[in-house]
Amino acid sequence: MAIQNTWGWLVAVDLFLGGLGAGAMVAVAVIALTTGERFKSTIRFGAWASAVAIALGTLFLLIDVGKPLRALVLFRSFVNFGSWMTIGAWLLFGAILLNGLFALLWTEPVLNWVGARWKFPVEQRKVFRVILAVLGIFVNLGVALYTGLLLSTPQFRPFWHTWWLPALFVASALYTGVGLIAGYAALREHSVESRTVRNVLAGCIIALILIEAAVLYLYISNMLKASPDAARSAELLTSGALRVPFWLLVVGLGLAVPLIVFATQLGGLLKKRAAFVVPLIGLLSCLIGGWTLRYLVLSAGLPQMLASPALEQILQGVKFVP
Amino acid sequence: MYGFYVDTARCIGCGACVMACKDWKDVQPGEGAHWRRVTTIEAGTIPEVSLVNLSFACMHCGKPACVAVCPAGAITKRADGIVVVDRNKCIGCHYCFFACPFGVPQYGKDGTMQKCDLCVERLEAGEQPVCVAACPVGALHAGTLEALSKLAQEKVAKRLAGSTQPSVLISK
Repeated sequence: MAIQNTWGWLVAVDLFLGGLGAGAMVAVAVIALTTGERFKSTIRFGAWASAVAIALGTLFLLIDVGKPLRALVLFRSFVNFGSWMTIGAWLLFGAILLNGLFALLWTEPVLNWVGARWKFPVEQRKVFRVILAVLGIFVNLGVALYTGLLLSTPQFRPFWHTWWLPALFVASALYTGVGLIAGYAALREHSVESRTVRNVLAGCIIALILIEAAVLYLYISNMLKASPDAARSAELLTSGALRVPFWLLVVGLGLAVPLIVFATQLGGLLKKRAAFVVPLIGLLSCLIGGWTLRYLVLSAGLPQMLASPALEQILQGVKFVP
Repeated sequence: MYGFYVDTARCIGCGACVMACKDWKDVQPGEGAHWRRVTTIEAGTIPEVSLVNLSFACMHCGKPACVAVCPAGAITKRADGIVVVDRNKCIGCHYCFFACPFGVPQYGKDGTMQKCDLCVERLEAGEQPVCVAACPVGALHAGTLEALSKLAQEKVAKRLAGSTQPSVLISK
């Protein structure tokens, strides 16, 4: 049977980058709020990465629609806030601004440039950083949630119309975002004190992998039991046309490989030479799995079969007498 | 509330309604959009099989799911119940396609959504929609749901069920 491809790989990129950027910002906001200025390099990277990721995702979203330039109206008007596409557009806009501002506040050359022209004392910078970090957590969690609610709100795609989908997308957003930050920290932060933070991040990743695995399992198993239409969709992933990318890329590369990688990092089992390659493999696997998850959930969004009492009556209607 | 009544006992699946619509509305050929479509529903096993043709376009629902999700406000439900899309406002995001339970929204090369508008301009001139006028066997009717119910009184016509409240009566 055909898979859903009206919203295809490009929409999957938008959903993935939105989630990744949101998760990364939440991660560095928490790091900034709890550790102050000790891990500037990671916070700066994470903030810029999240702003760029969400901006790129939004750009791909605009490119994909039938009228990209006209779609910019989404950022100029306030029509139909009952639609998650409208709400999402403003969440994305807000996140790009917030994350970008936050990133600027952690970029020394920018701070020096501003400080040379206007009074911008250190205490003020700290206050702004805290405010933006807190706001950023809420807005970016909103972005992560919107990517799921966009699909789950319409009622007639059984595989999407469930709370499990936004739950899965939020779990995946946090997982890929924290994964990006943890991967960067593993590669770039080498101070002794950073080892604690790196291990905490690795521990968080392992917890997030287990959470996502649990949510994914519950989502799929509930869909297999929910209705014939939902089962048709879920079976595409577990045993049907999409089973290879599901088991290999989403479960294998997306969950199992990073679990092993970050567990070995936590266990201090990595020798010097492997200390670069292994986290990189873990990070790339995590990201490939994240995009593939979005793409497969989109592709499995089949419409429900039309079955209404009126149609049922018709089907039982005319009989040809031999 | 305007809608359609399809008498499936009469429909022979000729597709005259499909072509009349494409012609009148200048729906571009080769882009794959057909505002009105005919589907054949088979049921049963030999020797008791049934074959029913159903002509359907937009259901002009009482609670249109498409209107609810459009981020550009391009789709509106008029006071007379007809659901219309303003193609100059549509941004082509396809969200209405995913919201509609009947797969009604279609898109051509210009990227905007296009669908049946119950031939609003013909209704305002006191004429029937062109699909109704073209049907050679009188299987297709359009009008207010009250008028259609009266028309279908002798047949067992039921309103198509669904949470979006499609404005379509079907009889066998």
